[in-house]
Amino acid sequence: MTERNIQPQELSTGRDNHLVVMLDLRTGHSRVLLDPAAMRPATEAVRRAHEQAGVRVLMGPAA
Amino acid sequence: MRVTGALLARYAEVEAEGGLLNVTGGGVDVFGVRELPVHFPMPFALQLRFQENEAEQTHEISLVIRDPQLRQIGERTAFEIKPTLGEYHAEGWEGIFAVAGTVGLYAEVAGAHSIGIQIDDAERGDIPFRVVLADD
Repeated sequence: MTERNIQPQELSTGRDNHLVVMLDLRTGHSRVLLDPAAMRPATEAVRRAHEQAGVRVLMGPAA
Repeated sequence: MRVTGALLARYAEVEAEGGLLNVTGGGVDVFGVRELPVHFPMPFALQLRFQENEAEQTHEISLVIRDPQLRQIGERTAFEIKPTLGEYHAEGWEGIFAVAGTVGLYAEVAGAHSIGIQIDDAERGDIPFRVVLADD
């Protein structure tokens, strides 16, 4: 694959057909993570948020 | 463009090289909470398929939460994607676009909810989930 310059706008709408986003459906806020590796520390934030909000994942498919 | 895969997970990411989805604990959909309303993030993954004539154009993906009465709660949340035809694209075949990240869920009452997924303002899929009150 040849190297090419990536334009900033291209990063915000996905590069090579993939995109990482952080969405909040309560506030409508959305943010594109330009570095997919940023998802890994984000999961620690998810764990802390669940602890603070008193949320537990109980099970898988409920059907 | 259509949704061919959508789920919540314990963890989800897109590989930087190749765009493959890595998902752990995919399909979680029952959450026990101590009090309501509740607001919390969850990892999620989406796989979209697009036609050749939809490539090189910007498309809007939006998500909304619906409560047990199918009323929208929270806010419609949108982002844009621009799919491309890769070097291994076969003529006449659909392309694939992968999205991963976290989605902040919100519920005001217990019961069955869903995340509605819209592409360019047309409803294209959903991710159901349940919220139950759990003291322990």
